[in-house]
Amino acid sequence: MNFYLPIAEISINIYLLISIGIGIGFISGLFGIGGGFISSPLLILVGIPPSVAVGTTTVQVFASTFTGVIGHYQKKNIDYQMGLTMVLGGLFGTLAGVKLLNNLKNIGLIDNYLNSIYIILLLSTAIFILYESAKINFLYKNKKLKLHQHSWIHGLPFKFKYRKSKLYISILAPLFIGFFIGMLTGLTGIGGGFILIPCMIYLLGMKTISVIGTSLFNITLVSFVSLILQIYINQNIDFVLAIFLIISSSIGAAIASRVIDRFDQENLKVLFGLLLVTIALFLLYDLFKIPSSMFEINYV
Amino acid sequence: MFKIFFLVFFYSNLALSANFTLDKFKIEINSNFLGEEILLFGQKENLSELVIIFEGELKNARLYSKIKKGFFWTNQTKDLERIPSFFAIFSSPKKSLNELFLIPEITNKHFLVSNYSEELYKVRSALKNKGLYFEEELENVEKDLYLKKFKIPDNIPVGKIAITFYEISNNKVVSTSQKNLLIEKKGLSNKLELLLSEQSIFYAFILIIFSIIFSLISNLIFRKR
Repeated sequence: MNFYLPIAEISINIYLLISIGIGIGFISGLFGIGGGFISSPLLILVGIPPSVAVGTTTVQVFASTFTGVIGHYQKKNIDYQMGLTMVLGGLFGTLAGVKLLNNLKNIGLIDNYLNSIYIILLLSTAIFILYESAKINFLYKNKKLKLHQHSWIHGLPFKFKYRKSKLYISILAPLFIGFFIGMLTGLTGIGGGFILIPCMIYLLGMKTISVIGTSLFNITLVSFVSLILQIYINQNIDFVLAIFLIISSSIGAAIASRVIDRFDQENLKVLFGLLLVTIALFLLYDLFKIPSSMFEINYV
Repeated sequence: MFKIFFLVFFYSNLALSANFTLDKFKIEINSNFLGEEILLFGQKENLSELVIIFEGELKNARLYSKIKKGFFWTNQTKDLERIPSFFAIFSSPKKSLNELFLIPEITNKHFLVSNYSEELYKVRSALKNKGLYFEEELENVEKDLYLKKFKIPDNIPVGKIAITFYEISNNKVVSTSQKNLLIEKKGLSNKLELLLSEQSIFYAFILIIFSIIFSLISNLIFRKR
């Protein structure tokens, strides 16, 4: 059964759309990410114009992370101090990212380098996660590990006590991480959860249990701001597409929150790393393969 | 069905020379729109050559050309102005683009078939990939009648498609006429587009409310007991 999407100006199979939404919502809920880095390419793949895919993804990210936030709020897994510090950095980062995006567009570089930046980010994050998991599972299997290793980040000034995470670290670290993720959001339209989570675990030393809730809290607020900006400035959000994605991804995220406790935390990290590698390889293949059409046109 | 169209059309135009019409001049896009088939038909004189051009509204566009750099395929982009949102050429007998390039009345009016440029070739190829460009021959039926069935795709942009009819002899246009095909959104599609363009904050507000409601509902349904 097909349905016409009024802003995307294309008709699409409803069952396909719902399947995509449930899948994204499930992954989002399981790993505590927005799922934007999966949904945007998937929507483009099924024929949604890129600008509408990116814009509508922000609504889906907001809805699926909001569901997750409610779940983690009930379980008291959110570090609001940490989340708000990163959101503050994220707002400035988003503005910087949008500015950088415009500059890259003006000098005609964005289309060639965005995919490459994306692949490097995905692969480096995945390698880092898999290395850390391997270290815990194989190298130090029988050794008692500290909660987190102290690094140069813990020596930075302007220290602040994050009570929920039991951390006493410089406010500059979460601010900078928030700024970096916000810049990525402005540049690529993704929520950045797949980088945010490893940063929170391995750089800040937060506990996995509060990382997912705090990450979702952060992404919900940033995607809320992004949603308003996308509608107001770009007018590229398709209401019908968004509603289908919201319903299906909310269901997927809620199912994930039911089954998440059945997964071992370390296995979850490995799964997440493998997911990132798969997406990176898919994008890499896209750069190598002979294009099906040599020319494309989009009305602006 | 077609025969009824033909008979009505044929007897109402007996006194006229070559001409054309469509089975509909308005396409309404609603929520179950999957594209629409159009029937183009008309009358022609025995020796006349016909060219009928459908040209959508002119818009700014960005053209992406794939270029291989080392092992990678990269995009080269170019911003273009006044590119039609839909373009179709129907002719009888079939005329190639090279033949059309020799008819100034056509090249002067339709930018997309104005010259041999590589850039225009790329634009035509890109539109063809989207199902928004046709080059086809009219089918002759009966003695002086012709027809062509073709599909307007579901990704057709809204607006007016100008249909220009040319009767040609010795590479010169001997008669011409024009009609319009209107593509417009109706019902929910139209209301949502208007809401987005005219009351974008309200549009955002409704979306956020929907997002929160569905999140709460799904959380309630799937919450652990």
